[in-house]
Amino acid sequence: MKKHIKNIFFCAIIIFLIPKFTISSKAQDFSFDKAYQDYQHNLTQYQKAFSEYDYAKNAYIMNSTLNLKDDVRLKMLDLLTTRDELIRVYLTMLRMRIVENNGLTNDEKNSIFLKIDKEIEFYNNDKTKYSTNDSLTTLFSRNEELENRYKFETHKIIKEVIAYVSLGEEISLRLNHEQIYTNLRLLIDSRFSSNELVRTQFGHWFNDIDATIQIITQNEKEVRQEIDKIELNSQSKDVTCEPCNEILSYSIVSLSQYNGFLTEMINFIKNQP
Amino acid sequence: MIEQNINQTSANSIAKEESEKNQKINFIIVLRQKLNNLITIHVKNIFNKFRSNKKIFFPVSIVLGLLLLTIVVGLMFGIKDNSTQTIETPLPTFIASPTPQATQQINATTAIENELKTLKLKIKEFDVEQNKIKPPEINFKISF
Repeated sequence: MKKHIKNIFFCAIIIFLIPKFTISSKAQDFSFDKAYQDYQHNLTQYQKAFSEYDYAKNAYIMNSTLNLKDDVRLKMLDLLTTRDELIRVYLTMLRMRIVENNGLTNDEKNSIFLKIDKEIEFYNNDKTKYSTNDSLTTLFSRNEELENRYKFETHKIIKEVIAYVSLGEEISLRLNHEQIYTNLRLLIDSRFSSNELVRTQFGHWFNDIDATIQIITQNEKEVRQEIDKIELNSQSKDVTCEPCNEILSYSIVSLSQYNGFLTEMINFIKNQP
Repeated sequence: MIEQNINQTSANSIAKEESEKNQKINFIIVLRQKLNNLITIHVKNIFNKFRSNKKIFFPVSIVLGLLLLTIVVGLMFGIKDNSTQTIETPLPTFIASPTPQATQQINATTAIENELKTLKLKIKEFDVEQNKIKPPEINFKISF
């Protein structure tokens, strides 16, 4: 009897837990790819809202009736809320890109999250402030406010985050190569101990590889300095990632060289009798 | 004469005993009938009250039904046949044969080689400008 009561109790617990489990698994499923899909969907929605607004605006300019004016007002209201949502979703996508980045430290990620979350919250709140009774004049002034916010705050943060994404991905590639380099050195050491290889062959090779790594890490420091400049720049509209991209392009060349050196070494070991 | 008297008294006493027995039996039968009537009426009353109170009747009957179902299911699938015992066959002893060192090294080198090939591809595909995540083109010039 007690066993059956326990069984019923157990079944009841499972029934109550299933929805909670599915909710938590859904939350875990949210990834950059999912966020990117959301962004693409919202971008289409925004483009649609913009073309509808543009059409209504032109119709009103051609024939300034009260009915057409009200139609423009409603289309503009839709455009502004869709635009807020688009920026919010775009920023969320960038956030997910940072979450999945393996090259950045936790401190770096947290400082980025602080900035990006503030912006996400702003756009999330902003879209709720619109009312269906808002006049065209109110909507125009709100558009101006948003334009300033985007150009002087959001744009700067976006550029900073994109620069961090590139830097993080480059660091991740370097770290992967360093792991291979460590394994390769262990393999070579084991060959030395069994007298299958001569140590002098590798001395210069190791030096060249270490020099390449130094160039790459130096470039990473310079990119960080450039990112700091973006943050300090008060004129957000002039912010550009160009200096960061230029330095990272050199790093990519060095990484390619690093990869070539390691491939050459492994081929050399493989071809040893 | 004396014998006749004795026979008569004995016959009287037997008749008395029989009548007493009959009385007792009749009393028990009546008592049983009354008790039966009382019990059936009371049980019926309680059951009717239970049925009429739907707030109690449905949950209790559902729980009892579930219990019955679990008992039936338990009886059908829960009882294990203890008569058939599985005889554990001893697992074959694993003898580790020393693998040649050369193959280990070949495996290590090919693994590294493959990883390097994958990384080379990633370097080739690396987009410094991050065009996939570039900001959307937003037109703020919507006033007229």
